[in-house]
Amino acid sequence: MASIKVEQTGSIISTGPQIVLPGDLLPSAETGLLEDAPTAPVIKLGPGLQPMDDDSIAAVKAGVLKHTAVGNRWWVESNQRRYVAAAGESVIGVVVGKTVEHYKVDIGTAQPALLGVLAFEGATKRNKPDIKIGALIYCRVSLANKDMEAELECFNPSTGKADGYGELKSGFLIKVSLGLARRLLDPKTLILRLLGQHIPFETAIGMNGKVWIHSAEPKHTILICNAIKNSEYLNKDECAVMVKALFEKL
Amino acid sequence: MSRLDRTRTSAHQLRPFFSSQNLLNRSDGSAQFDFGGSSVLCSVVGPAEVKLRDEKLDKATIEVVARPLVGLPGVKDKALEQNIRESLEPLILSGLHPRTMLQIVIQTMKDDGCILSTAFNAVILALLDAGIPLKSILGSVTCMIDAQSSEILLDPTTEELSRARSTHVFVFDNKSSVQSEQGKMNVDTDDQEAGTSSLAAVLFSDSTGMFTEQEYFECAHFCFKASQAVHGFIRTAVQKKLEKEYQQTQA
Amino acid sequence: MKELEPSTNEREFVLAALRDGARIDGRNFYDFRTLRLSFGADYGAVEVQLGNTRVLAKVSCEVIRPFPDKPTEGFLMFNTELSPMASPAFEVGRQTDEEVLVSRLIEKAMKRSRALDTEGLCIVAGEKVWSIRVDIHFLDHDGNLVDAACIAAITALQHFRRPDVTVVGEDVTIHTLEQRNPVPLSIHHIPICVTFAFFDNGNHVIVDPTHLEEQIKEGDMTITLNVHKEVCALSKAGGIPMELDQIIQCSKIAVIKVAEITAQIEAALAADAKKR
Repeated sequence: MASIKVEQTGSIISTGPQIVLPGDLLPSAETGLLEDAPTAPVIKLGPGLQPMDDDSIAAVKAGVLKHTAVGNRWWVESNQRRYVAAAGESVIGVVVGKTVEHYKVDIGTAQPALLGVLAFEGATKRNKPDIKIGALIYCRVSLANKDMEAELECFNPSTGKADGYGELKSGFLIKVSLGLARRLLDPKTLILRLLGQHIPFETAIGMNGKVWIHSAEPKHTILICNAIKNSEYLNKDECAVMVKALFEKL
Repeated sequence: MSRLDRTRTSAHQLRPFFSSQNLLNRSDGSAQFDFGGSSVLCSVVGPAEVKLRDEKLDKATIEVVARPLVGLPGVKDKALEQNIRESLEPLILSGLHPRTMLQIVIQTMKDDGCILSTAFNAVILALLDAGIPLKSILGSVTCMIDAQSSEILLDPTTEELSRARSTHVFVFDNKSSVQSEQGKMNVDTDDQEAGTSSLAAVLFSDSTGMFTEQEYFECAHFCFKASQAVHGFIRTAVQKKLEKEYQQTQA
Repeated sequence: MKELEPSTNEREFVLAALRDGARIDGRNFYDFRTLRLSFGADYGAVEVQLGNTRVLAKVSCEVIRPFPDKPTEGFLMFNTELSPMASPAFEVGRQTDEEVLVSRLIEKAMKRSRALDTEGLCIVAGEKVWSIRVDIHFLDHDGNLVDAACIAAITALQHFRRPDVTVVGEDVTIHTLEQRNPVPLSIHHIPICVTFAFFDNGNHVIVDPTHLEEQIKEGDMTITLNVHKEVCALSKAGGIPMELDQIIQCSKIAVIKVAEITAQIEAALAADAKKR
């Protein structure tokens, strides 16, 4: 997050869901972005907002303007299909190449990301996992920079443990929008709960819009994949109807 | 005076707009925009892998491909590609995605005049759909001056264009501030003296034919006012799409 | 931009599902995806959606001079350049093998099967004939471009109306659409392509493969038929060897599919004619 020092006035009021388009300026009264104020608060800008040449702050993506009073953070929640790597996010990738030091992993970004051959739990030079080209990997973005290929790792840096990261065996992969992937990560998400009531399944959700599904039978996996893909533009009732209809056909 | 296409009653009336976003599944963003009987489909891919010879170290490479409805791409399509690419370059924050490629493909679906304006509006909707970082949005409107009556007609059809003394294509950006309560645009549309508002800038202007300086500024003024309707439409289109996406998360 | 190979997991899952009698989009082996036809405001413009695959066909015409050795024969031309809109893997100005194959198949199915009466396009022998041009625009590629393009092309040719002409001695008058009702083209028969994909040494045969299925298939075959059960073209370019029995089996399936698709095209054309 880029932080900018700006001059301050008055208190910060939170706004309701507000849709912004590129070029819309952040409301100065609410962010405290007034030019003639004496002291300087810090405002943190997240995705979708950029400081412009004239020191104003404008949206650069279409989406919903979001704000937290704690830390005075502002960002635009938008939806897109192409992934741009951000450090700390969990992603699913396909191994597309291998060198002595790195696996090359396609995570949907412009350039393949790099996963160190030793970036696994407990890996040493003598004892390290051997991953084949074409394998699916659930991993974490450890370094992301617009000028460089992203770097990945298959362990939790705070514990050094795998924590579920690593190669995904069998199962199937679908591609959804980044917005849907974010929603699926919410434990309260409706579609996964509805499906879970009917059949047990395993899933891994990457912030890059890749969703891995595994269940006991291919037919179940197919049903789950199609239900998730179809759910994006449905409301709650329509989701319930769709899932019910799918299971009746099974 | 009624128009040649008989569906419109005023010289300053635009044909009905139509748009749909996110309709192609292989591209990162897509949109179709219609001005009545003219329709353009646009797809956007990126930020994606760039060929080594096109790579720019400090920004994204923007490639525009225009494809005609009939026949092979010719000079006209090359000109359309260049017009759109050069107008978009200052608008796209390409510095945020260095060493990548942004590919925009424009396909004419139906042609009943004003293809350049229709294409501009389709492109901006597709870029918004793809989540490409932009400085502002844009809106484009074409007008013509009738050879006989010297009247300014907005958004002319092919039939009307055949009687034009001159045609003018304008693209305006949309610098506005968000008002806290209604989220309405804060653009001063009635800045009569200057002809255009101080907040909006001309991104592109292309005129052909014979016209006076005064006529040019009148055209700019009418097109600017009409472009506000296009901006408003784009905002509504985006809003509708977001509402669909958020209907599950709202209680 | 290079096309990425599907992951091992996807490849194995698709095969496992096929062995289990299922396809990844929930279809049966011999099902086509939902076919949607929509017509433009002009004659001869048709957009075809076959699942997520989208193709636009636009027919246009002009008057040109015929070849001296075929003075009464008109022209039928196809433009099937693959647009990067359909898939970022298609590059402008560089033909891929896939593009050449798709173009050849469409030409064979439409032109060489003599679906269109080219003699009927003659205005003045040796002087003036109609040249009919079909521009096929690929908008979205989710597999089976050939079938979608053929449906679009033949539907657009049936939908198209050319301007009426009158010939008095040496004078040829071409009437505008306002002066006289335009005339439809004379079409001999309606060829429809049905594409099959083979997996597991030909043990599993499916109709209308998606893009993912195309990436995994071991072989394919396209049969072009009309409703009279006449084979117009059959193309099996490479892939695993097939037994003759299987080809006959495929053609039997194709006969049923062709009847269904032809009926749907006719219904769509009739519904559109009513609206005009």
